Amino acid sequence: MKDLFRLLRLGHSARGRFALGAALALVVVLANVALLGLAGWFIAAMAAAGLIGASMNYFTPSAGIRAFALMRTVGRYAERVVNHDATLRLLSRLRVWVYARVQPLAPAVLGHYRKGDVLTRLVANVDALDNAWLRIFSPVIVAACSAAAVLAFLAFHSPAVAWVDLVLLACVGVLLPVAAQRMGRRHAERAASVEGEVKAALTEELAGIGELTICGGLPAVAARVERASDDWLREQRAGLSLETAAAALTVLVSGVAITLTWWFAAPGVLSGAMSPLVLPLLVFVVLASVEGVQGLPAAFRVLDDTLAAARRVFALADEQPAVTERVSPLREVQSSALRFEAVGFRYPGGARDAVADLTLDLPAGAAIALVGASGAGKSSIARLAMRFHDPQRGTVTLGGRPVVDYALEPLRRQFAWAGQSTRLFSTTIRENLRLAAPQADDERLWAALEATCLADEVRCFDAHLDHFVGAGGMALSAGQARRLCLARAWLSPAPILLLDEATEGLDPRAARAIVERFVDGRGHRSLLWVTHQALGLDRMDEVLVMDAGRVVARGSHQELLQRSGFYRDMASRIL
Amino acid sequence: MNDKARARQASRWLSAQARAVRGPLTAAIGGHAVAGILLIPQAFILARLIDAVAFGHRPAASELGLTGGLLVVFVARALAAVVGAAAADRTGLLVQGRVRRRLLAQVPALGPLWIAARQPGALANTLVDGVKALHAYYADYLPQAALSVIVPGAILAAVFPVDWISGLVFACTAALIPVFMVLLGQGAAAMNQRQWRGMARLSAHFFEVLAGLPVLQAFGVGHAEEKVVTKLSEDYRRSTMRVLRVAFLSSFALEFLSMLSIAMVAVLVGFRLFWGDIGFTAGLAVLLLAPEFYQPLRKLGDAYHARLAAVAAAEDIADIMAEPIATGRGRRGLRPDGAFTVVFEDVTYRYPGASRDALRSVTLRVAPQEHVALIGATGAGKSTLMNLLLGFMPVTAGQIIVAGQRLDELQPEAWRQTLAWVPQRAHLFAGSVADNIALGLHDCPRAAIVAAAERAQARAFIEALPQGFDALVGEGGAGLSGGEVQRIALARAFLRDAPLVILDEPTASLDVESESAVVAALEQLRRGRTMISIAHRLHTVRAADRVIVLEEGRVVDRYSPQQAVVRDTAGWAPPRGAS
Repeated sequence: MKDLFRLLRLGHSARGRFALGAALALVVVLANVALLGLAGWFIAAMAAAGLIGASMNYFTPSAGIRAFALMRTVGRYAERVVNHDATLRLLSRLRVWVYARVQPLAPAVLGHYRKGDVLTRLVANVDALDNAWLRIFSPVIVAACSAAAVLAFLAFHSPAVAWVDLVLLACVGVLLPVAAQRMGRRHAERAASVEGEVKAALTEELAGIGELTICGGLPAVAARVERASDDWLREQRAGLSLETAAAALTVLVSGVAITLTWWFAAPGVLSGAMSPLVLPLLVFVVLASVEGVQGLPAAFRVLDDTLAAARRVFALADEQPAVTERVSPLREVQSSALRFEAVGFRYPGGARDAVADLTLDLPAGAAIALVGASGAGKSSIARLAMRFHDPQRGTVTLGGRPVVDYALEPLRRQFAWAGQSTRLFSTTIRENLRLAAPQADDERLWAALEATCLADEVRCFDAHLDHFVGAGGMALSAGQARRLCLARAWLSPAPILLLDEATEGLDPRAARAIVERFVDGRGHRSLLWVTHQALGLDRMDEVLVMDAGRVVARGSHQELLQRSGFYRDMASRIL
Repeated sequence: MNDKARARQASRWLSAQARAVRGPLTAAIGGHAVAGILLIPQAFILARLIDAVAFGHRPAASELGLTGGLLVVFVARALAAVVGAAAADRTGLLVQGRVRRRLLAQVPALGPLWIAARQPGALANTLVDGVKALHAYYADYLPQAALSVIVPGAILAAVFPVDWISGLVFACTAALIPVFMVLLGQGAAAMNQRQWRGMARLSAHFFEVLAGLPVLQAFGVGHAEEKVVTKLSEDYRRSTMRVLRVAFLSSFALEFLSMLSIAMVAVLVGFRLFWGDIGFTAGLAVLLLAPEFYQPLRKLGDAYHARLAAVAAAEDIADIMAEPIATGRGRRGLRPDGAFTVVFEDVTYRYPGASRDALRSVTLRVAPQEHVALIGATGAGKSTLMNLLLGFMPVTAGQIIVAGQRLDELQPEAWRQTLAWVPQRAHLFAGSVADNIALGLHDCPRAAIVAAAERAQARAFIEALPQGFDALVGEGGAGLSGGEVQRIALARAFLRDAPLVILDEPTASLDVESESAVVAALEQLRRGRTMISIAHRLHTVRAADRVIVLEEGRVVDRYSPQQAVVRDTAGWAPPRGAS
């Protein structure tokens, strides 16, 4: 619950709207109670007046009936608008807040969350929190207030009827839904886990369909999917039966309560303690009072999930970033000379050092390649340079100052980066490129596309630079996405080109052309080239061969060909 | 197909599914209808009881018969509700089961290439969540749509004889409701649907920003994106509220009409009682029935979202069910003894919807026990050639002849038993290592599995795993390196002992050490078998007997491996590297 209140506090600025929304929702329920109660009293009064031929002031009650009808209608509309607006404001605030909290966690801390679908779940969890106000807080407030008002009114006329109504509201609003949920929890949990099983088995069948088709293993996997699917339906059925039983019991309990209302009110009418006109009024009020607690079953249903969603969102948002800026950090970088001095680094929880005792000097304008098998620690060097992590030993300096002295964003803007993943944003080619240089004009964008042999292909798209790259770049081929990432780095005005396995999976010919372009056409920029492909190494000022976090050989391409067998092997294996 | 046409197709498909569950659907409507119609005797008995006490001045105990009757009505309504709800749930579950079974049969039949062209995760979502979204349509929306006609109709029929004026009020407002609903509802529905997509887009964007944070951080623009998130969220809120203000109008109209009519009925009944036109029991019963008259319509409004979700899901499902199944019509068996000849004769292939051929008149003869390597830039046709040979798609023109028989006349299963395939990145299935090696083979002796692993250079690392051959791999299983996975895939090929092996550069994603182990295993595998491989690595070319160069769908050259290696430095690939 603490998390839900914390969530509401985030929506602090909309608290006037929340209060108004709850008040309006209460008006809607009470207007209905008043309307029906008054109508019952009115027709009884009119009938009584008709019987004895008395005159009667029918203006006031009939005006009251119309007023309550209007109040309910307008109130309902206003309540829905106000409550939805408040909810959307809360969600909007929450999204921005979560982003601001999660942003410094990337990529170091967020890396742990990449596994599985934690991010998908985070987004779904944020979306699920719209329940917090609309389906939990607001209905609970309305139920409590309307029940209090109705019960007070009933108790004034007949304490017995008030007790009957209290039991009715408790049963319909709390006992039955809670019982159904308690009993159904096991089914709900089983259903959720079987659903996950169906999804996992199915995803596996689809992902491995080629091999299953060739090897003939399809029937066995398909049977597993069908079995899980049938189990799932069974669990769903069990859960639904409980809901049905709860609904039927609600009908029964309401019936008994109405009958008892009549039964307990009757003696009062006969003894003259209560006006006969009040009897229909009480029956109508009891009937209408149930509406006040109608939101509660749904509130109980979503409570667990919403609590869990809030817990997960806050758990991630409360993570500590791996690196923090110091107080009043430097915002200007004097020179682009990058130095690693005896740097040692181990990932949190890692079994061995990812980088051990590394010294590396990349003067402004120089070109250095880091080669080695995957897991040799090459990419960790790139991450340390951009300060995604801080090393445990030694220092990384840029322009003669330790990188920890700089503010994070100006520091990272010194690097034109292209990495192993080809993550693009679901927008146009132009916008994807401009991430690196927001002010760049089309001429510069085309030049960047030329540099990565992509311009001709982009010209083939109808919309040219405005071509939409699809969700996460899915509408481009893997090679095109890769080269677009490289073009993005090329476009960046940053003084250090940092390419981390950025030609992985490219056609060897294209990879070679791009590497040569990057090396020869880079101008004054320095280049840190992380690779396990033996491309363009002869053009580098220095090549560092890495293994298990250590530099095992360093020198020029020619020297290494003579000295290092490992290097010779690697250089000879690319087609 | 545009959105409207797709939505129409989806609606038609949804109706077609309803025909198969007519029985339980009728029971659901029947049960709920009985529960709804019983409201009429309930109202009259209750009115009678109140009349007896308030105006008859009789003690409650004198009305035991009627009281009992009232309780019986309540019990009957509860029972009818149980029958109705149980039948409704059965309807929904039957549809879920039926549709999912049909999809599970259809999707694999569409073939690996059709599936690969989509995201397995997205397809799985359609088959799991999409099908589940159908439930509420059949269990809630359809019954409620029928009830919103039946129950008000019954109440109207009961009210008219006792108080025709109130009946008229009900009838008039009931007639107005559809008019209002259509006027306001249609526009709102379209806007609503767009808004749902807007919500999905906003979530997708939020996900993308979070997933793309490493990139944003690398370019030092993480803070700038915060403004974008704020702006998109606020834009979404404003546009949603614009839509909701209109969308809520339809429920406003319903509420307005029902409240207006209850107020009118109350006042009119009051005056007619005053004038002595009708009895109190009748008047009170009518007033008790007034809110119930509109209740089914209100519930229909609540179930409307279920309809929207079901239509959205049905669009995807109907698309999948409408896909034609293309491959695998042959009937002949195949029993080759040992390696056989594979011949491509003038084979042309064009992908559906493509403007040019992916393969153009390719003629190629692979002798028994020969090892042929295919090279060429991406898009040159290597994968197309391989997929044709695997039988994943039929040739557009020409023919493939294997062991003297036309491939398209062979039974797909028979053909696949004669070949083994190792893709670039082999897939491990949830299960033990042994299960993965013996994929598709029943009751395979452990000794044979171990022997296959041994020959694939995989035995040592498998036995080093905590449970050895019984170690669990795949989703949630032990992590194996890329090279280890590929060697398990090679072990599969050894175990199947197929005369033809098709390889898609199985060392493409491996590092040096893993690569040399896989290369050694491949050397073993090729003995006595015909091998056709797509080559990205020099050693694959060196190991081949013959190298075929493909360019833009044609065979442009045939070399010996030595020539290919020499020519590599000159550059065999097309002038501009398309990837």
